[in-house]
Amino acid sequence: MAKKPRRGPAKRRRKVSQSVSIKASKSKKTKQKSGKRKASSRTRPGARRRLRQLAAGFLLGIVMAAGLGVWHLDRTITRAFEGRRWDVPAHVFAQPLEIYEGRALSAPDLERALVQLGYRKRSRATEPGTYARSRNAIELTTRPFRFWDGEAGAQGAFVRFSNGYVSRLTDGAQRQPLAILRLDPLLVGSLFPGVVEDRLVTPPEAVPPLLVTALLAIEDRRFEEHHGLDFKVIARAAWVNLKSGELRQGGSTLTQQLVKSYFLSNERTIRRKLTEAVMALLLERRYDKASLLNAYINEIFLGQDGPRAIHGFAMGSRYHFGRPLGELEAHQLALLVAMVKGPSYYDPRRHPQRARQRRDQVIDAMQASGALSAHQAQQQKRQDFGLAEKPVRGASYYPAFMTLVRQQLVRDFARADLAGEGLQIFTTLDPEIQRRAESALAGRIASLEQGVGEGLQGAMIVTSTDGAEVLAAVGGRDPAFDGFNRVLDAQRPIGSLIKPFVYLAALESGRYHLASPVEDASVTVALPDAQQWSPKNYDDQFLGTMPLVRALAESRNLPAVRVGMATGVERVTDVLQKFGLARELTPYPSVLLGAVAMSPFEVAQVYNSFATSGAFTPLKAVRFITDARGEPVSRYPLELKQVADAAQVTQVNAGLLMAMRRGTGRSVRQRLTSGMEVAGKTGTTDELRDSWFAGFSAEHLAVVWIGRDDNQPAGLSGAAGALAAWGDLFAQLPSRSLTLDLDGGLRATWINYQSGLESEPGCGDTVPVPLPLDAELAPEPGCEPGNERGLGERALDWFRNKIG
Amino acid sequence: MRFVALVGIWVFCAGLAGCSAVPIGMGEPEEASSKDQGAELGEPESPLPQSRQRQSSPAVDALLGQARALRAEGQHELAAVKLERALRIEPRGAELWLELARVRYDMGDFAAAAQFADRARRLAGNDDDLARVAEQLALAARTQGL
Repeated sequence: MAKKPRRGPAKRRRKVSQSVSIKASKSKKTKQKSGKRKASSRTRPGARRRLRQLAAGFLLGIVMAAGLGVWHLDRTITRAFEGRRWDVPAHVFAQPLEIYEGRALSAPDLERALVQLGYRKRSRATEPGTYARSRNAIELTTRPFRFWDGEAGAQGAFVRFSNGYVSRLTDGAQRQPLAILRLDPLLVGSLFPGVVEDRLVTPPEAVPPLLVTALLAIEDRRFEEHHGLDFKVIARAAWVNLKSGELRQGGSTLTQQLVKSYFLSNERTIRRKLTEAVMALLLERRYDKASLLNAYINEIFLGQDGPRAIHGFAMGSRYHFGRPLGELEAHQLALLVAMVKGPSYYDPRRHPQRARQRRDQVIDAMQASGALSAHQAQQQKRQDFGLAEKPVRGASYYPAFMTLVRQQLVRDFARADLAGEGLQIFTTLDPEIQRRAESALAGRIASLEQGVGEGLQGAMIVTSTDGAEVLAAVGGRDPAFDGFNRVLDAQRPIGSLIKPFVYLAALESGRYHLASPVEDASVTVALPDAQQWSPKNYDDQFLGTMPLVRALAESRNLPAVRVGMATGVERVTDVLQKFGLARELTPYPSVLLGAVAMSPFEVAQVYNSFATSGAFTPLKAVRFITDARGEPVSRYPLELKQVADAAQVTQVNAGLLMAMRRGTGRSVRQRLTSGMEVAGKTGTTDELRDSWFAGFSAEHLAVVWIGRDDNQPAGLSGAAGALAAWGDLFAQLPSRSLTLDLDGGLRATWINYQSGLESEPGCGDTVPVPLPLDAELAPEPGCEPGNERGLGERALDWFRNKIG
Repeated sequence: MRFVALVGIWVFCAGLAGCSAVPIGMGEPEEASSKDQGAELGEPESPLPQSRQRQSSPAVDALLGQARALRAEGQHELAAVKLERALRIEPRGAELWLELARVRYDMGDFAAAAQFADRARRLAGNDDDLARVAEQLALAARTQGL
């Protein structure tokens, strides 16, 4: 914001009068002196001189006191204004959308992103911040933006789509191919480092001009001309108040209102008004109109949400209408402007008639100023308020994600470093995935409640696999609610989610591979306190010997406990810890069935290492930080550490793949894009209290928890609840299909799913599994690999293989 | 006759595939009953999905080119940023991991260089030259780190 050094009229006036009075007294003195020379003057002149000196001194004293007072007020208001600036929030950006040939992106998706960024639709998109749409193509010109790795000027581009992919990307003018096009990132929130509240700070260019027009027209017509006080308005208000005998009209300029908003004082005394008036003048002296107007737009009180005050038009827009400021229609802007005078008095929910009357006044003022035609004004006045169904709670649009951002920053930066002016924080948030995740979770929970009753809650976190970037975080079914963030704060037993870790520990011991026989038979564990533990399967059955892959895919409890005890529970907790679980765990046997409480965030962290074939990468929500000018301040570089053998992790992943193909996760597979492969694990806890699912493709990992906040049984298995929500997301999400790396010591082998013996593919119930090269399997009787079988059978197999 | 048999088998398998759809219900048992599986057979399990070598993309080539130029100028941080952008587009690009390993090596971050070089080697596939270079770099990095 610019400071404008300008000598204010007030001080000048004072100085002028001061010098005038000094001149006057001087000339008086000289006159007196000359006069005295004529008469003999020994006694009288002395007394008079002292009197005048006293008077002069007294006058000087008053002037100095006044000057001091003004200087103090100046300092106070400047500090308040700058102090707001010192507290200037860090602007938080989502990750920028990168467009390139071959990227999975549809025309509607790109258009949605552009609209969210505030790009305007035109017939020709030659100006920065505009786009044009035809059925399979979008023409656009990006806004200039200073990224960490370079300044990007406005770039014209032409994007052609085919089958949900970008098929061609060229520049707008020459139709030369463009390698990559990066849009400016979406501003998603602001962080005041020291304060709990987030705010949505609106930079000047994001303020709708119509809002400014309406504001000035209704609240301060001569804003551009006056120097802080509008005397015409004051005079008229005084006249009106005098006539009616009560305080009917205010006469405050926007500047005065801004001053008032800095100091929460309810007293409306003359003294208060005078102080505010002087401070308004001083503010105008220092800062230009644009800065003052922008401060006003971000500061003005527009409502109360319980303990949280709604400040600024951007927040007001979200709170009342649930939409960004740039999307509001004229009548909605008018309503916000109407509420400036008294957000409670003109609350559209509680006093709709009053609010409507004043709103229509504002619309009239818009028309009078020429911003709306008579016809438009009439049409706008006919509109209903268009309020959000219920006030959108919470300041930040993405409160769960913002918490992750804060958590990451606070871990690494002292608060003082963060309190610089206008830092820019570039995060990993993907607004489109966030939107889909919110929708999937909320929709599925609502649908589940039809069956199991009300009171369900949930959380979802989506990350990239390589890179471990948090793309979306949904803290509850009502995502804008800035309350309990279940992504971080819901610590719930993970149940069967633990099983991949048990089996990886087993593989690491060297005594097992994916086809090793394990027993689904009763087991009794002796506990330290002389008690005994006899776990059961969910179906209370004992299926006997089976290959490890099947025990994992079908989430059998007894093999997990047997294998886990044989391997050692500490080995299992070791895996959890090297995969990124920060907490200490006591290796009780019950750990083997998931008696470990974790948050969805922690689950995502530990499962990410499966998705990366055994590399640990800490989850991150922030990529870069720059200062207000775009100079680099800090960045979080890509890090990874291989903590497990890739071949062993791949075997476990194959088990998780089988879980999705035919195990507990299979119900979702048909909803995915045809041919898409994913891996995942369902998790259900005691008495169906918690419903968990963790699953990944090659590109994305998502963890879902559904349950009740009061820990009562939700009545949902992992498959019925969390998996369904996960499926809702992945069914629509363009995501690369999972592949397994078989290089480096693994061989794809076909085994019989029941017995685990090596088998000719298609002979009986066979599944492919990656096994270590030195694994030796007995052959399945009647299905020996390379076996000579009847021509008819072989033909049948041939047909089956062709079709399958 | 063969054609009829083909169609017949196809219809049979399609029918069984339809039967394998499980409705998402409430309070479903956690595990799949293996007895159900027997009834759904007819369609053999597909092979394991294996990674294929991906084709290069102009976006990745451009970023890699920029990264190489920056590295030659000694602008390591910027080179790393370009490579990380490229890796978001092509996470399995062995060349990218190798170049990133070189950059981190130049910056003196030997632990990271070793990790990235290992990954480049694992993703090298048929490219023996790349695998060899990556292995040497990893070795050098680990030696330096001692």
